[in-house]
Formats: sequence, C-alpha cells, structure tokens
Amino acid sequence: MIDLLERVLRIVERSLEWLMAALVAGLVLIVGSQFVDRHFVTLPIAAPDAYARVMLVWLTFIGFALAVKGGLNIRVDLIDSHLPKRLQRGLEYVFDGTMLALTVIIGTNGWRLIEIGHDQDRLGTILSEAWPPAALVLSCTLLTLFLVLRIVLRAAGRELPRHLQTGTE
Amino acid sequence: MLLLLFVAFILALIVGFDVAYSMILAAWLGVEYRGDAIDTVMMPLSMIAGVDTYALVQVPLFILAGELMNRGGLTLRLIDWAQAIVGRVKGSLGHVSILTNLIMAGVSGSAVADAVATGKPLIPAMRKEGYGDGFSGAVIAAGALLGPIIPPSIPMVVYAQLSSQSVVKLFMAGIAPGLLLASGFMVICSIVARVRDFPGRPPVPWSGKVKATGRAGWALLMPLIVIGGIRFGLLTDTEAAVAVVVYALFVSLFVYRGLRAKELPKLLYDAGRSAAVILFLLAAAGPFSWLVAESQVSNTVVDAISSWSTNPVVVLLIINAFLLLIGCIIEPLPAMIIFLPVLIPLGAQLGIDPIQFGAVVVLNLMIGLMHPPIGLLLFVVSSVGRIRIAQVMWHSLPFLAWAFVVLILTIVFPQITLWLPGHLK
Repeated sequence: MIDLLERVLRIVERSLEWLMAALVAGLVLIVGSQFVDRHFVTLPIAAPDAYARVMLVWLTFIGFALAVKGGLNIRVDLIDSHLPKRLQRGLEYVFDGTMLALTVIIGTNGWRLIEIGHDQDRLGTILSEAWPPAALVLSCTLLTLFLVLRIVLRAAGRELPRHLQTGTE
Repeated sequence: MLLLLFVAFILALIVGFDVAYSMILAAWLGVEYRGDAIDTVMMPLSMIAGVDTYALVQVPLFILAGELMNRGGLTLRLIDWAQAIVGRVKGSLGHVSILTNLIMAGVSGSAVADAVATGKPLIPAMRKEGYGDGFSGAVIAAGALLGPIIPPSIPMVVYAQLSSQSVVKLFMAGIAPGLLLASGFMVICSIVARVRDFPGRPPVPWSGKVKATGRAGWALLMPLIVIGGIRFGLLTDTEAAVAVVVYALFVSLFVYRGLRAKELPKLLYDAGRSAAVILFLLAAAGPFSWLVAESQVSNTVVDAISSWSTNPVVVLLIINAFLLLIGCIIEPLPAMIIFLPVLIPLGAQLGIDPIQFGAVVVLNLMIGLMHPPIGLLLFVVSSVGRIRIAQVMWHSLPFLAWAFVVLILTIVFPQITLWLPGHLK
C-alpha cells in the first residue's frame, strides 16, 4: 500500500515539477515578448501582462503546495525547538490539523470563485476569470492530500516521502 | 476583539505555526467574528488579488537570474576578476568577497543565494590563508547583505507592491546606501587585515588584470544591463529581469559553458518554488491586510507613536528600533509583509517620503539577516563553511555596527536615498 502511495506521489510531484518549470519558462517568454513587441515587431498577442499574471498566480499556489510538502514553507523557529519532544509532536498535529482545516475552507470558497468567474472573460485574453481561482483550488487539493498523508504517516511513525531534490534555499 | 485576534496571530507566529497560515488564520477568525457581514469568499479572492500583479513577475525572474549566475560559472569569473584587481592588498580575499557581492547584487537580489555562491569558494580560501573561520564567515555574510539593497531587490519589489510605489524609484533609492555599506565593509576588512596581519597575494601585472577583466567581461556587464537599461528607459523593471535571465542563460550555455541544457528544467523549477514561498506570503497578506485595517491596529500604533513625537526623523528612528526588535524574531520578508500595512499609513500621515521610507525599511529588515538570534545569513555561512555560528556572530559585529551607522545616516539624511530617484524622468 505504501509502495503504491509512493509511486502515485512521485508521478504527481514529477508532473507538478514540470508544470512549474514550464510556468517559469513561460514567464520569461511572455515578458520577453513585450520587449520585442515594443522595440522590434508587433506581435499578435494583445495583453501579454494579463497572461503573465495568470501564470504567476499558478506558480505561486502550486509552488507553495510543493514547498509545504518538502517542508520549505516559512516558520518562526523560536521556541518550538526548545520544547519537550512530546509537546513538539503534539504541536505538529495541531499545526497540520489547523492548516488542513483552513485549506479546506479556502478551497471550498475558491470553488465558488471558479463558478462565479467561469462566465467572465479576463480582459485581453482568451481565458476566463475562473483560471486564477482554479490554481488556488488545485493547490488546496494538493495541500489537503499532502497534509492528510503527513498526519496519517506521522501517527504510524513514518514520514512523508520526499522525492524532490532540494538545495537552492 | 479584532485587536485581540491580532495578538493571537503574533502568538501563533511565535509558537512556530506557518507564517502565511498564521495570517490566514487570523483573517479567517476576523471574518467569522464579523458574522454574516462579510462573505467568506473574500478570503480566496483577496489571496489571489495579493499576487495577481504584473510587477511581482520580477520575483521568480530575478531568483532565476541569480541561480543562472551561480550555476553557469559567472560568479566564479567575478571572483577571479576581483582577485586580480584587489588581490595585492592585505587581507585581499575579504575585499574580493565584498567586490564580488557588489557586482552580483546588481543582478540577483537574493542575499542567501549570493552567500552560498561566494561562500563555497571563498571561505576555504580565506581559511587556508589564515583569516580564521569567524572572520571568513562574517565577510561573506556582510557581502551578501548587499544583495537585497543594491538593485534589483526582491524586498523592494515586495514593498512597492504593498505601498503602491514605483519599483524603479525604489531600486534607485537602494544604490547609495548599498555603496556606502560596501565601502565601509571594505574599510573594516582593511583594518582587520592590518591588525591581524593577513597576507596579501602576489601582485597581478596589468596584462593579467586586463585578461581577468576580459574573462569576466560577460559577467561584469550584467549589472549595467539592469541599472542602465532601466535608468535610460530601454527596459521596464520587469523586462530588465528577463534581459538578465536571457543574457545569463546565453553566457552560461554558450560562452562559459558552465551549464548544460539538460540542467535547465531543474533550475527553472528551483527558481519557481523559491519564488512561490515568497509570493504565497503576499497572497496570505491579502486577507490579513483586511484584518489590520478592520482592527485599526494602524490607528492605535499611529496614536501611540504620535503621542511621543511628530518629528518625522524621530518617528523613523522609533519605527526602526521597533523593526530591529521584530527582526530578532521574524525573518525580513514575512516581517515586512506583516507590519508594513500598519506602518505605511503612519509614514504617510507624518509626511515621510514613501520612497525613503521603503529604502529605510528594507535596509533595516535586511540588517536583520545578520543579527542574532535568527540572522539567516549567519546560519547560511556557518552551514556553507562549517563554522560555529557563535564565531561568525562575534566577527560580524563590526560589519553590523557599520550597517547601523548607514541606517541612521539614511534616516537623518533623506537625500542619500532620494537623490537618485529624483533624477528619474
């Protein structure tokens, strides 16, 4: 069961890793196109900045879900490392539980935004206003998955597997 | 009640709850407290609005530029060049570190990335020449401090977003304090080198200097692209970020050949993920700013500080003392995102120029990268160089003292930060 879980997680993470790389590359291209458009050739894209903003929203929310999975999100490590191990462990459950509850609240409200934005055009693009909240909802879904797994695995005395290499921070 | 929620948020932060989620939690409790008066859909809506801004595109791009410089061999060329230029003076490797960081600061904007990139080759070299572990680490940390102050600067992009100010003006405001810091750091290196009799290196003949400059020429041009491109209106601030990315990519792949094409996806991913952690803080700051406004914390703070003094310089000094205390427990970017919604109205009410206010706040919070107990740069260099953190902290004190002097100078003499932005078209 754990093996299957690891395989599924690996596939999900790899796909997201590629999505993130594509988003950063896309930002380079789309901002660069503005320079080309202003100084050299008129390009057929009407509002590149509008596309760049959607990509940035996706990058933020998907990237944050992956950062939480890798334990790279920002915390103030002032007193918890000095607490007794049992209390630390208890706090970790409280933190993960609270994050999970908030994630579900944001995700469900984000879904309402998708429904509202579905019929609204994003100015200058072929996209609808549902695209940015869709990134938030996907991020909340991933965070829910990662947090539930982390809580369950911690209760079983294991850690969430980390497939991705870290090292840039 | 809302003020109590704000206090609860600070407590959540201190016990070690995720910073962004602490903000979200406080905001959500505030929404619940107001009952049906506010739709909970406001939460995701303001989170998205927090990052749905074109200027923030610079954040991943400047992080990517820094990564490309470090992995593509540009940083190493800069170190070689600095050694050729200042290698002869006593304790030259200290100067090399400051000079290299000064040039890199003109491209990357991330102190941590700069500390890793220069610390890896230079700490072992300084150790070998008898500089001592503590001083070696302290010089690298001090040099890296220049990264977020000299443009481009990610914290300044964040400030611009929070205060609706011009990113370009903020970038220009950072140049003079950055140069002041760098020159003071070099003087400190000279004094320490003389007192402790550090060795110099054999002099490099002019032909060698020219050769080293030629080898590093591609890397040396990068800050000129950013600052010159923006200053003369060829590039917008965001386009400047792309220009350095494309330039660094070209040089790394085809000129220096330090990077292979197959490493690119990982590099893009790393830059994206590092940026996401910063940007998510801004997303979480969306609903949190609402809580700050509703709780009228800013009014309470404005009233409290105004009761002491209405002199802008005195108020700035008080704010800075407060931020330095905050810097002892919270990292600079989260501190900025949490407290600026409270402090910006205070600055405006007292007639402090928002550009000067931004430059001072960024400088202040970046000093927090170097002072205990959570000075991130101290941890980074101690980890990169395998040095005891207490040693780095001790030797950082002269650099820290100079940084405080520069901070006070920028508060007392606004021209230091405002002169260059004032010359923008």
